Amino acid sequence: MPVVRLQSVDGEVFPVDVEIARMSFAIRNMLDDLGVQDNDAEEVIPLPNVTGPILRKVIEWCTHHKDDPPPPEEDDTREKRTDDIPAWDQEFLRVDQAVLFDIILAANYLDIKGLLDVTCKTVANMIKGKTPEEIRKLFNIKNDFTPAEEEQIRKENEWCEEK
Amino acid sequence: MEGVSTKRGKLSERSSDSESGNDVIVGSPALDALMNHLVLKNTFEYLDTKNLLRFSLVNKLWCSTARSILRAKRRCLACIQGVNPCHELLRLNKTLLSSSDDHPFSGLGIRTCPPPKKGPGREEFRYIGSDYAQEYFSSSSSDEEDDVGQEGCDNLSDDSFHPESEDSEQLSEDEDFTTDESFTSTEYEFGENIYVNQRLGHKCIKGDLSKRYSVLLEKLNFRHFEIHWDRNSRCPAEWLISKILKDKGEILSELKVTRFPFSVPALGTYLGFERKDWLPKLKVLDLGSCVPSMEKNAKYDLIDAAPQLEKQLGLNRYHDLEYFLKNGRVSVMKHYDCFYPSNIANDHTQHVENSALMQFAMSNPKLTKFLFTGLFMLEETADTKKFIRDFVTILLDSATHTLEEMQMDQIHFILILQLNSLAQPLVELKKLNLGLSNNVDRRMGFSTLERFDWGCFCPEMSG
Repeated sequence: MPVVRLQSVDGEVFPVDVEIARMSFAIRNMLDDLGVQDNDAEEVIPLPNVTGPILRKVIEWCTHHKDDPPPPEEDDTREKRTDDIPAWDQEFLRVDQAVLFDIILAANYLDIKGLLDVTCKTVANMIKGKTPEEIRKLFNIKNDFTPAEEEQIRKENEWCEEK
Repeated sequence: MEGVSTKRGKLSERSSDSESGNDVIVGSPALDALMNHLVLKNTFEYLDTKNLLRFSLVNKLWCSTARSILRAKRRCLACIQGVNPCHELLRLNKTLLSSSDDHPFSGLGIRTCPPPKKGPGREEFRYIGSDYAQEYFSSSSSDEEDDVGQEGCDNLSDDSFHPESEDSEQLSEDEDFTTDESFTSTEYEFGENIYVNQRLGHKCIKGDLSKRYSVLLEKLNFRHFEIHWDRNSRCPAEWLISKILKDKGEILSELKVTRFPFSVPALGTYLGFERKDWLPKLKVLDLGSCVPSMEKNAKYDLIDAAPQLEKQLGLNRYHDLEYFLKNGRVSVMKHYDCFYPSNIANDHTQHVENSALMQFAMSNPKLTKFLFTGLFMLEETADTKKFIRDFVTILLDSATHTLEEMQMDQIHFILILQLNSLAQPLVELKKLNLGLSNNVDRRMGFSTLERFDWGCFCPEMSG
């Protein structure tokens, strides 16, 4: 099986099956753009936005899911389910919250849709039902609205009614 | 993952929020992720309208991300639902005017002024026909403000009441319609009751309504449109309903009708459409709570107008089958009430009815709601029982993976349980309304349901 070598920002190098590495659209594009062939095993692909431990987690996820069938097409206008995270993924994502968000950033950077979906789903479950104030406190987010802007948003929201 | 680090260095400085008991993440990965539009958008795809509305108050990025999803992918209506819809419409228009383009609405829910419960004005509802709509549009879009206003209000006023002096007022776009004082309603006594004569309150009908409601018409998306249209009233809300259907019909993806004037039998004709498919993108037509008030041809007219329709919600009965079968639209029918009127008991009628029902069942309908409410009125004969068995077997076979709600009496429920075809459960059934009647059981000689393994029959049932 041909491999590529992925190098994290802290210099750690991971030999990865090409088939698995290509689950990342970012890496796939890099390989295609660079004209890297499957037998260029010595080629090192630097990933300046991902640390070694996080890259290891990402590779672990991709390896586990390499044979997954393509996801079914979803009705784009319906709220997606969040109660269908597979048991393996639940266990895989049982990590410190900060690690979870690092994996999300890596999945976003590497463009790995399946991993981004399952991690975002986990975050959605985490934040559902919380108040804006609780969210701001939990994630240290600054409220950048002026009081007038906030009032305007409240007014507009008052018109909405889900049926 | 202890010891995991990122390029930012220390990963997880944490402190405890003593008030909420939550861990507070001080710093970066979470903040970086949750201030990234793509990540936020992906996360918000999993949230419902209520959560998205709430999270729009977190900060500006969360607001714009939440609202882009609300507009494009959720049902989030700007709802006009108070007793003074005209007043609310003007307020909504003004609210939108003063806000940014980043509103959360996916469409509009609108209702016309309710008719008085009794008293003057009630008898004035009448069908004026398509000429009415044409004249209404042409006159209200002209600059002859007084003519429109006078006509709109005077035609609806009753001799026993005095048209408001505001009828002769010149209304300007600068006028503030958002205050209670600006909305002219008239209280009057009739017998022991006091009514608000809202018919006389339509001073906002005056003038160029396209201009007055231009913000609303331009800025709202109109993916969804919900109408509660009580009557021919010349209420501005009614004008807007017609205007939106006329101008935005091509982009509507969901139309919900909760009340429809019985006097409008064919909406396409009423609005003056020449083309038949004037709702080309409509996917969902929800007539759930207005079917009794709606002329059946009006329903068929709407379905005809929507060639891409995927779901028609709202109960259909036997008399609808001919239309759906003849026009090949059985696949859009999602709700069916198998009500069997007692006055069709003779054999000949039964035969005809039964064959239509059987044709329907064999057309592979993917029902989500099935009411089985009247067949027990038939005489109990071997033929009847066989028919019911065959009909229900075929019908439920086609809906095994779609049926979410079912209502029936226990006689038929027991009958269904005896069917081999229901060896496989109704996997999506969430609600079962089971009618129990000892009297019927005794009369029909059926046994009573005593114990049953619900999980086996409908594993997803919640009530």
